[in-house]
Amino acid sequence: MIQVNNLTHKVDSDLILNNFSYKFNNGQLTGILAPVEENMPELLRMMCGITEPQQGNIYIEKIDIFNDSPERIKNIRKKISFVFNRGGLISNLSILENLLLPLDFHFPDEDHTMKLDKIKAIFEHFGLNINLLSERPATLHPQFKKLMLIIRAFLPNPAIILYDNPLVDLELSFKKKIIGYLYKLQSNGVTQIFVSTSDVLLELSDVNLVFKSGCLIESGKWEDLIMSNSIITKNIIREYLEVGINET
Amino acid sequence: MDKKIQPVISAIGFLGFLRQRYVAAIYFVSFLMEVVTQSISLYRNSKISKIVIFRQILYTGYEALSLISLIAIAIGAIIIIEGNSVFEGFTRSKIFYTIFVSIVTRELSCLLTAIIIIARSGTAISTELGNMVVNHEIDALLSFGVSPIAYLVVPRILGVLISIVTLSIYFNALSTLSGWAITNLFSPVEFKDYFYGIFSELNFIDIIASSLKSTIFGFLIAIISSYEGLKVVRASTEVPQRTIKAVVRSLTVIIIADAIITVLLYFS
Repeated sequence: MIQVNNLTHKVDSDLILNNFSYKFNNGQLTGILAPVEENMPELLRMMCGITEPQQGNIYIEKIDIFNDSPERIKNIRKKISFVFNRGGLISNLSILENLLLPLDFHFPDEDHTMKLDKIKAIFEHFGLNINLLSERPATLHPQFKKLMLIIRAFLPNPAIILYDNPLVDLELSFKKKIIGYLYKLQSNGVTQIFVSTSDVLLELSDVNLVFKSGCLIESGKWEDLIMSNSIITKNIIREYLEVGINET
Repeated sequence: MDKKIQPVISAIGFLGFLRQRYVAAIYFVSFLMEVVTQSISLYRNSKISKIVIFRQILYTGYEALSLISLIAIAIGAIIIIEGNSVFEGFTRSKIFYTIFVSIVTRELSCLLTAIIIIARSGTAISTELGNMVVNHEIDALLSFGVSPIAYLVVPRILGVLISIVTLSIYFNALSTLSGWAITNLFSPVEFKDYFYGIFSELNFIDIIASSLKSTIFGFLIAIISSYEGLKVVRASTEVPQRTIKAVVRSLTVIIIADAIITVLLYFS
């Protein structure tokens, strides 16, 4: 369970969150909606420990991810993965080394062959050529870079996955496979939170949170939000559908 | 009225400047402390750090060998040629060995190696880390719970330290050898006599000074370059600016450190 308490955060002069409190239940697939110009991935970055919020606390399994003991924080980090929108692959490492990095850091004693088998199995699942493993990130097509980011997040079998626009840069066939995989993870009880304009993903969510100027306006399933009377929600959904058509 | 206000404005401006410097110093000190803390716990992440150390030694040490060789040979030769141009029989005199040891071993081997490492590896470290910030690679490490200082900075410091100390020893050996080769053009000297002359002038304190300087220079270059690289915030245009700062600051600091070590070891 992820509990966020009174989060307030600004980037330069933009207010990202304004006293936001919420409880994300285990196994819940949550979509985050906000006007496109509002930097909502910042909330995901806070949840996985990249950015420290200026005010408020984030608890994952009752551990304050910024103020607890380093050992407990390290243990909780093992259970969280983050999918970056773009970038995020270590440029001077090969794709294989990139994929092994979180595994080697969190599970140093695990057998290397088992890790390789895990990578091969997931490559097979997505129909990817194994030769990609010896490439460097710079030589890959943006679509494959994105897939590597997603695969790297899936590999440690995390309990929580945070996605910053998971479908951007992907072709339709891969979008379908990723959506299918998200659905499978949802059934397996993995907590997933995403920022995306894809209506397909928002429809799949257990709950969607609507933000405006850093404040939570309302929450609910996609079909309920479409029928919402709130002008703000209506405007955001209209904006999302215009952008989202290009995404899915 | 304006004249009365002017000193106040200047004082406020000066206080602002001092505050800025103070904040920068605090940041640098906290960065240094983090480096020390993470160095102590390096063994915990040794599996993922050793590849970074190995690559740093390859780039900083191995790939600089040809340039260091060229400069070391040239320096050894130039001292002999210049000395012989000033007075004949320079290489047969005792003063030659004294000058050679005090110039090459004590100073030039460490200083020139450090300057080459600033030009090659200091710039590379700063640019690479700056670009890693821009491409969210640092964020990726943070998202795994990997400290960028432990994974990126500490192994680079170790790699640069090992490389600079080894390269300085190599520089000394090669310039001494090239000195002997050039000496034979003017007045042939037996190999063992030449090296006996060099080693008889070489004190224990010279070896300590040379090693100490190389170690301190290596540490300063790696830490300043890493610090400047990681200070990039988000735009790729910041990367060359930070690299220039890394070069200028590294050069300034090693020259000052060189002067301080020399004074402490030879004039105290």
